[in-house]
Amino acid sequence: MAMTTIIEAGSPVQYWRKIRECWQYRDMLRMLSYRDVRVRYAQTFLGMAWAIINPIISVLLLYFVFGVVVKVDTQGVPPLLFSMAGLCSWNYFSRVVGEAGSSVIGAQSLVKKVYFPRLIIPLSKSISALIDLLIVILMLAIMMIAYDIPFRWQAIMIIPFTLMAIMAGIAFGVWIAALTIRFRDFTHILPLILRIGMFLSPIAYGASLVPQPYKWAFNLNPLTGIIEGFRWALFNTPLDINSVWISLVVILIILIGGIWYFLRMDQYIADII
Amino acid sequence: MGSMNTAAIIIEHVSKTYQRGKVRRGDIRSSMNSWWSGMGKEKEEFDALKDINLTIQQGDVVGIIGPNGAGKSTLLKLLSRITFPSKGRITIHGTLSSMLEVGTGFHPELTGRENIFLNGAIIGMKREEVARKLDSIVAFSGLEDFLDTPVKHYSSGMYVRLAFSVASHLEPDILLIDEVLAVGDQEFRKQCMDKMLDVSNQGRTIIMVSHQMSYLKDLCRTGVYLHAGSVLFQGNIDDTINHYVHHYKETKRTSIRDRSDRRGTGAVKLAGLEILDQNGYPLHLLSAGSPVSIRLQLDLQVAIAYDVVIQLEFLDIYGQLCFVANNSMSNHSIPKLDASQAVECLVPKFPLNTGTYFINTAIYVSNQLSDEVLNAIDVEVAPGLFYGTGKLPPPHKGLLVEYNWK
Repeated sequence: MAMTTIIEAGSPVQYWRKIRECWQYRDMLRMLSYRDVRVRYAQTFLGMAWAIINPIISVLLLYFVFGVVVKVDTQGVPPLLFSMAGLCSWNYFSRVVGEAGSSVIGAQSLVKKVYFPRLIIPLSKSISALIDLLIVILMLAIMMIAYDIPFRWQAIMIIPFTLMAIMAGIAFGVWIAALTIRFRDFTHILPLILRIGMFLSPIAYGASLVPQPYKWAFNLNPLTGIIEGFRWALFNTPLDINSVWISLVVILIILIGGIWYFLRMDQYIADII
Repeated sequence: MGSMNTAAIIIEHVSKTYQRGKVRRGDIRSSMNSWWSGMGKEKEEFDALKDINLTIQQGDVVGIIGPNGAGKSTLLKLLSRITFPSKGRITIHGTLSSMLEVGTGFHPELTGRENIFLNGAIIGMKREEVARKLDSIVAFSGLEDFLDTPVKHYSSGMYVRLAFSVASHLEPDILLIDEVLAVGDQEFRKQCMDKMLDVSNQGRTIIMVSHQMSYLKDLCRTGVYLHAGSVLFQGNIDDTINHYVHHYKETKRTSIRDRSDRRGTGAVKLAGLEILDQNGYPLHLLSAGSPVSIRLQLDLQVAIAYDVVIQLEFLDIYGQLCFVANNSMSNHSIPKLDASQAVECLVPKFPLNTGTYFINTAIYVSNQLSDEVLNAIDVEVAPGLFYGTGKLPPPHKGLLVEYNWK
């Protein structure tokens, strides 16, 4: 017979095989993402509207605090657009991490009844959340036209920065998903981490405002490079290329570590959950 | 066919050990246990399977038989890779799919068509495969007119039909089936059975678990009898069923006091359990709606036991929890016990429908599990005058609840 599977207690985890398996289950990954999007937005009229209302309220809030009250230097970019460009990748990131975190526990009935590479549960969240990112980017594009911002070819660069945001989302999402299975406390810790992350990321202010002594620590935040990169691509604001490379390296380390930790736990998930 | 001597599955020295208190958070009993014992203090181990050795031949149709808690589902979960063995080795030749539950991942908001693709993908079918088989799946379900209706508007019968139709279009070399035939209407059951027999005629290996001996007798060629995590018998299906029935009657004869398949500290132990009518006479068959008293003889093994909690769980033959009777929930607490004595739980109007049920008992002393006996007794319920009319839903369908219409 063509295929032989050997299941042996105490055998080492076959990381590559498990990753290849995720690719074999890509149809399931696609259907899970599709289900999420369908259920979230196609369900009610308000569902779709929330995808627009939510970011608008966040942007207005940021604009009021940082643009009207504090009057942060926005490097010549209209403050509203400045915050919006900062917010789009952060919103995507926090949505992926938030949803991926509880995703495996939320999929208990699946995990206990069928075999499939469990990694695709948090992965599917990184795909379904892309819809929201797309909506904010479209809103941003409309605003840019309204504000008469000239189009630059370097705007294409938001694609690699989006890829970085996806990787960052997966990296943290997989970690949180795995940790939440072990320690339920993470359902309480996560919102806290995300709130801290939101203030420590250059969403409504530029990274250039961070005093030199703190800069290295600030750059370790993988979102710094992504958010600054988005703004550079759209408005040609100054970009510290080093912060992008640091972000990339940090993301890769967390991503590889997260997948490693998740796969190591993979075979026990149905028992602990 | 023709390759009857090749093994499809080889199981060598396989054990599965669960750590109680740490595992199965989702299930009612363990979450209650951990609630009582202050978040999983007890970490005793328990072997769901003990050193199993089995070889299953290619093309065989095997029925796994055994009482609740014998390890049947654990075995299927190991084979389908949902959970991982603690010891030993399993070799599987060929592709394997499991139908441990039909309709896994169905979402009520999605349409029938979308759910076919979703469920197909979840149980491991490729998108093209589902697309190719879509017409056949729809025809099998008989739900052509409802394909674009959200599943939340389906009746439970329609839901099951759709789910089974997708699952029955899987084409693995080895198929695992867990009690799925228990669902659906008579006619559809027949259709499913035909489909399965059709499958088995193609030389596919099928392993199934069911409490319904008549199904297994009809469908299977060979059988495996599991008891308390060990294989007690393997042979042709008729012999296996005979063995099971014989052995099962024998274990029932040993009184609860002598049973060894129990766990807990043993401070207070269950020595006997009887079902009595309102006059105190033992009942062998009770009827739905009649007053019933469950009498537990408690054996005190320590001088004094404080804060004794007794929990009775009534489960149907599929292992579904029907209801729980617990003296601390209904505020009939036993603060102190200083002698062996009998305790009675009175159910004024027995709420279970016609069928067979099992009672699991658990005794807690000072928030610690003292004695748990799974399947302490089984109860046969006959049709009764619950509603005074003699009319009842079909056997095993739902709980009986008193109500009024206006």
